[in-house]
Amino acid sequence: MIGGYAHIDSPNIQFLGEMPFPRALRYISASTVGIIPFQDAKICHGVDPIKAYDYWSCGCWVVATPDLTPMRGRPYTIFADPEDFPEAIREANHRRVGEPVDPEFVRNNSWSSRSKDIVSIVRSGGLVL
Amino acid sequence: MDKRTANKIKAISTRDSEGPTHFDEGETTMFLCVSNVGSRSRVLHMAEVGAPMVASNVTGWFPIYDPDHMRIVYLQDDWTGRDRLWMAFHSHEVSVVSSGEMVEFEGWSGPPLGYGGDGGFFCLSADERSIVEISYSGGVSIRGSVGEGEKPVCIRPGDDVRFMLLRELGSSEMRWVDAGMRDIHAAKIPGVYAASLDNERIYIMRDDPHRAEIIDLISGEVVSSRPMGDGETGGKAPDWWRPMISSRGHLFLTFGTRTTIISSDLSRTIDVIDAIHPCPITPVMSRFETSRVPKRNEHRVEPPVKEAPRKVVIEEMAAGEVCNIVASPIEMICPSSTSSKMGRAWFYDSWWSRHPWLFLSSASWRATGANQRPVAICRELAKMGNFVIHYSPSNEVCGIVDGVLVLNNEDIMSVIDQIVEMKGVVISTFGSFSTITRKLHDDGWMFIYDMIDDWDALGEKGFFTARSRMLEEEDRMIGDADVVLCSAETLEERAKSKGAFSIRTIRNGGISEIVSWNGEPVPGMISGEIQCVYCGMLDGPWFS
Repeated sequence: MIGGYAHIDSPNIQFLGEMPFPRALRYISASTVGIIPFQDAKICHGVDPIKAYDYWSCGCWVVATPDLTPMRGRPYTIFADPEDFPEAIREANHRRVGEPVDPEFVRNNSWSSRSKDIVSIVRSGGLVL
Repeated sequence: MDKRTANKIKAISTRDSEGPTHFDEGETTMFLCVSNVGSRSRVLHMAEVGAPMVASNVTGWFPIYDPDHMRIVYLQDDWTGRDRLWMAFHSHEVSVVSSGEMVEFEGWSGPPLGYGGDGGFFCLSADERSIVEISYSGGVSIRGSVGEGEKPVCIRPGDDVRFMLLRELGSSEMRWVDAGMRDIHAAKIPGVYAASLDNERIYIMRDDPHRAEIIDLISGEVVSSRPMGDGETGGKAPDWWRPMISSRGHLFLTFGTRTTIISSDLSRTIDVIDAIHPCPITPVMSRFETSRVPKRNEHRVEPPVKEAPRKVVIEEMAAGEVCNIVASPIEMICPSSTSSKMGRAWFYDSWWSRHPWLFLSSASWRATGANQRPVAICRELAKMGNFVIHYSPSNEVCGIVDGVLVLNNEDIMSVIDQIVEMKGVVISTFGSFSTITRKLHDDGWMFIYDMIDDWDALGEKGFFTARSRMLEEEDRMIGDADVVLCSAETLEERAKSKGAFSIRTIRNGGISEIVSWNGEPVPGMISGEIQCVYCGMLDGPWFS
């Protein structure tokens, strides 16, 4: 787990603490499955988690809780209730081998691509950039 | 180095007076580099050549400076630490890095950067991601490096980087060299008093009579020539490091206290600026005989003269210029902002011709690893060549980071005063910036509200303070905005319910290429049958 604020005493869980994003990518890329265990339907309803894109960029499949409705229909993603997470992680780990994340998908969902879209919107508003 | 990056490094000019030029092995990701190089203060030439020049000065043995005008930074052994260095360069229009306390970076192979008190260390361009430095005296004269907070890496011989080298001003030998210092082209231009280079031309001042010339580097032919009258020179000889060339090709010619700006084709005078006193970093040896190359220890050091700051009112300057010419320590005063500390030196020359993008964010630039949506988009827009400002009251530091001007409370209003006429795009991601958005929108800026979360839902969970006020302001912003962007389709409903005029969904994103694991164990990471990762906060109301 990358990030701060909490500790759980478990031999299977390692808290790596906060770190710069480029360094975090090294850890993510050494993993196979990224999890997004979010709750609260109202909050999650408006969340498009950036970490999902980070996971995909590192070739990970994503396992997320069903409250994350904006992620429905996304590729390389499995939804699971908390009690089903272990099995979903195993499944994601397995499917990742046969269905690796497509670099084209990563490119099309990059900040670079998003920024170009924003520029287009601004241009369509009449501003010549 | 990729070609795109290499192309940004257009030229470096230097004089190599004390030894062979040296490059370390390694790779470079340098994307920002303009430099002058000299050793033991014998900087004979300086050129601004299409990329931002952040700071430049002689250092070490030749300690002529005025502390009222310059920021002296003594580098510590953790000099590659991000804040320490780049902040200094953007904190004032003239910043100085002194090698006086320089300590060799541990683990960095190659010669030391400088010696205490005798360094000649030049750190010329820095931001959070890259540090470009040129060093050092006594054997090594040029070295381009970048650091990413860890080990700096250097230009490698054979890299597709070309430097323009004014090798021996005394003998007027001009050279093109590659990263391995192999000659690409050499030319002899006799009778040069002072010169600057860009990619193809040499801008020359001749002293008797005063004359500006442009010479084609390859053919050696005079492309253009014009006399300089007393009104432009003040009857004085040009300073020996002039002229300087702005990224627009305008020439800055300094004659003592007078700076004259002329057009790139020499056809017209754009402006004449008189300073109160000479540039504080004007070397003692202000007149350089072309037939004589100075020898070591020939300089005479005089104590710095304490004089009033040199003040130039922006309106008197040529539009679009000056900001990038930071070697001239002009204190910029913005008349429209009485509390302004910001000078145009904060802005790259090229920015003045572009519509700015101003991002207003509640989260600081560095929040959660400096990868939040506004930060990521700012970076990408800057990469496209846009003039981008990231403002957050939470920004711990100010400066140019990844090509983005990062500001906090102290600076934003003075910047707005300066850019308001440029009519750009203001993007707010939180409902607490209505004073700024309304002012800019009223002045013709495009206003975008970027809805990145359901603030109603987060507010109910106590995620932020002053909830009702913020939400009221957000409502107003949404109603005022030309466009509301939503980071998820599911937020469109919320935008509609609050009266958005035009709604577009722009989801979040990530990096654009797959990051592959090289198979080597990551230090300190446990391994198991399945490697599962969670990257993010663990104490939000949304975390299960």
